[in-house]
Amino acid sequence: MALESTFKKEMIINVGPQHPSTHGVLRLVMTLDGEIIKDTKPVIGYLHRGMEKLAESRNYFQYLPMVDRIDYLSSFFCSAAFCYAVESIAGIKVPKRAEYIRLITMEFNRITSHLMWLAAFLLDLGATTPMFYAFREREDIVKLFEDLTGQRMMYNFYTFGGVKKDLPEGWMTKALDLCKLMPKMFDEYEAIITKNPIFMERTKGVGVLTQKMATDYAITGANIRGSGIDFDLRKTNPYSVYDEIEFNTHLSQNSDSYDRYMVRIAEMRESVKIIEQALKQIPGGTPEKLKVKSVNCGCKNEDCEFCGFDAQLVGKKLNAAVFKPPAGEAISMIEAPRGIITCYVVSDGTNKPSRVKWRTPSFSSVQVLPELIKGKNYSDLMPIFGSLDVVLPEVDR
Amino acid sequence: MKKLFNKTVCGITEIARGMFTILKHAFRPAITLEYPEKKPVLSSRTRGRLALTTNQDGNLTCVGCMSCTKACPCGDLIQIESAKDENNRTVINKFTIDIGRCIFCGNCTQACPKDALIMTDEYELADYSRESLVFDKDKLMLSPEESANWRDKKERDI
Amino acid sequence: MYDIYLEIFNKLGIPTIFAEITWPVIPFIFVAILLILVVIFLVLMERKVLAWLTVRKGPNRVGPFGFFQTIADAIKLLCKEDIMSKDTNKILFTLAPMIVFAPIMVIYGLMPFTEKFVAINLAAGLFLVFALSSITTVGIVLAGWASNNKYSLLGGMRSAAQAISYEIPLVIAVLSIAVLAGTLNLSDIVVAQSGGVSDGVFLSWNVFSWNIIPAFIGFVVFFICSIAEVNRIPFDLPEAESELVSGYNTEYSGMKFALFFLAEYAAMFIMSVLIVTLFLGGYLSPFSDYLSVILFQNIIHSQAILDIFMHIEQGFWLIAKTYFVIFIIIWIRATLPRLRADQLMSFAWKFLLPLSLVNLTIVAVFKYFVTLMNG
Repeated sequence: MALESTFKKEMIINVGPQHPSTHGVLRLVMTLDGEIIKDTKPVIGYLHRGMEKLAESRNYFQYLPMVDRIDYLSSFFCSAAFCYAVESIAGIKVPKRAEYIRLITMEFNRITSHLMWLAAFLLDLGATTPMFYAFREREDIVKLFEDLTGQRMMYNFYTFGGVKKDLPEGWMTKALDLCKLMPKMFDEYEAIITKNPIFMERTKGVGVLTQKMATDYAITGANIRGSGIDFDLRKTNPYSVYDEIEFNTHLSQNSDSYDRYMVRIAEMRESVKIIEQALKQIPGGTPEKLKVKSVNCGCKNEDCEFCGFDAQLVGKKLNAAVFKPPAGEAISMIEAPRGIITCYVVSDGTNKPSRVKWRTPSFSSVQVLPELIKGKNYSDLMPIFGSLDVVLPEVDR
Repeated sequence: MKKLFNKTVCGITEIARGMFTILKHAFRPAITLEYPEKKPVLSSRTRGRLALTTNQDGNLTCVGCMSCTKACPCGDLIQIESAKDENNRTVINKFTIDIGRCIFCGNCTQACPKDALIMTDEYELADYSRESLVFDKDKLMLSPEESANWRDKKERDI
Repeated sequence: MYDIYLEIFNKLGIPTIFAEITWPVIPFIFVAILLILVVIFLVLMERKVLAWLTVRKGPNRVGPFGFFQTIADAIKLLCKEDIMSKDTNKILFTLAPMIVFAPIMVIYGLMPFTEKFVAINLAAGLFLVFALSSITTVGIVLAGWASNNKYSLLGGMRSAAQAISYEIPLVIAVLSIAVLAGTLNLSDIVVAQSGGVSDGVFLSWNVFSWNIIPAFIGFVVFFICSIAEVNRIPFDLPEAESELVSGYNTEYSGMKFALFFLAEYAAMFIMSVLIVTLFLGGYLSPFSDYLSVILFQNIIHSQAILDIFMHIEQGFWLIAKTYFVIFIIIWIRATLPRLRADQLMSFAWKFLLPLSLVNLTIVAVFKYFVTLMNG
């Protein structure tokens, strides 16, 4: 075997689909020259379940449990996107109490999704302990969800016009206690990792996503806020009751992996503040108070705080078997933890949707990976890919 | 030179801070729940295995309206055969649910107008073959006492 | 240990010729028993300590507090199928784990566990320890090459580069110890750390003459380099689970994998014993004399039994200090993320190497003034 041929040959390796840290079943076909990556080709489709096709053979209420499974780590957001689109077609108004419950559950879901991201990101880099601490926090929140909806992960809680059940007794106190505890836990994660010199060396200056690249590839969410572009759908096009809550969006200017990490940690703290405000502002207050006051009041006025429209849970009681929205189409966009989820629903007047199209943020993030990683060391794959927060069920649908 | 010294000292303090934060956790109680000796306490709204309620005389509460079959996303999961007896009341001859394919979404229990189909909190359903996971009427039926218990719980909760 | 062995034969009345013939087997038995006991406890200790640091419980099903977990793991690994890919070089594939494991077993025989329990007491023991630990690098490269797998090859190459780069600051830090003690014999290095600074109640405590005080920078450098030599986090790029799917370990299954696993834990233990022997006073107690001897001096008047108590206490001090160092190594594993390959190299060459040379200078100056003061 002549030595010259081995010097010039480039090695092609497969990262995945079975790999401990591709966050799902993703296959990356990499061409390596020693340790430098020459080119990458992501091969997706291992988790394709035909979510869009399934919608064409089921009616609206039968499709609702399946929407949760498009991105199982942020299932409230996918559910919200679909519900807002169908409510827009059918012209159903959502009462304020239901909107507040939707907002609280969505923000808790943002925290659980970011905690899961933190666990996976740090595990890839080699720090094995913050994963267990993140899962301990996640367990508390997921227990709250189980008290509220009945399941820990695939909630099936939103319906067209509102939510299915009211908050159980004692839920709001538990949620407020958790909100007081969580910033201390976030401080602990930061003490372990944020200023750690090894972590900073691994992530600073690595994976710089320029503003032009981000806008070209339609990347949204925390990735784009780490590059300095101030685009948060909750502020620019507020849906739900986000215009009644005060919160800040966090930006960072250096566009590297470290900044995306900082932006997500700051977003988690911001979500805790949003939840505290919402729990204080919810119309009707705690469910016990609401029950007692509405029985005592009994005025049936539209504007009454306790028995008016805004204290209901569903805008209009719908019969699942005969729900037929009028013909039309609608788009709804939601700021999910990874970016913007868009749902486009076309209805033709029957009880089955004619076409449902999903645009998920991880699909765009995976496409920017080859450009971010060209010419870099093979070990840089982990910080870059982890900080982009790609989750495969969203990519493949 | 001074910058290098500063960087080293900073690095060592941050690593030490991280290490002591982790050491604090060694003195906290473990969060492990030793399953299967200790089982977790589930909420009252938990969506577990499906079951059919019965009234006092031991008959099923189900009236055969087929709302659950129409609400289920999974196609022909629930199969019901009913007939009318002499007093014009429905008698359910066959009620089969394929628990192996159920996604536990709860659409059927929401759709049921009489609270005949409910979800218990049982989740240990593993078995050795797919055929044994197709539950028929006898396996799904709850006793009248259990049904009464469930109705009491529902009155108190939501 | 040879003199104890001869004494036992003398007491029993058997002629010494038998002792000379049967002697070569004894160090091997000693090392084998010690190795097995050490590894059984160490694997369990690592899993338990890691679990406590992450608010979990470690293994607690197999035996009380999970004591027999390692034995269960070993039996499982023994019963596994020995898989070899089609195009591997069978001889090299089988040879690689042995080359990694065997030198470490030899190092166990050189360490002074108590005053008399040194299996082989060589005049150049310190030199032989580092010569042997360099052989394991060859085994790792062989493992990476013979696996016929691109991931393993990457892992093997990285590990060779890392091991060679971190050996140099390691050996220079050890040079400073040789300067302080004036000898390369490990038992003499331990004895040179006794006696304290001067006479007096507190100042004669051994702890003030441990080598860590003048050679503190050397201790830090040696500690970091020994973690790198054993391939542990933060330097475990060769077997990084999330990047290379276990690096040079990937294709090994069954007993060969068990040998790699065993070699890593055995190396971790022996590096800790080396740290304790060179810097922390070995089997000497931190106080000026042995506690058990002081306690029992007036009760028991037989010198032989007092000697036995002294040996037991020396063993206890060595084990206590060693497990303290191992706890810190496991604690570091729990906290820090991994370094990238080129950052690893630049850390070794640009930071640790100058630091170890600075340490050598400081120690040499210190030793000069000490000898000056002692006349």
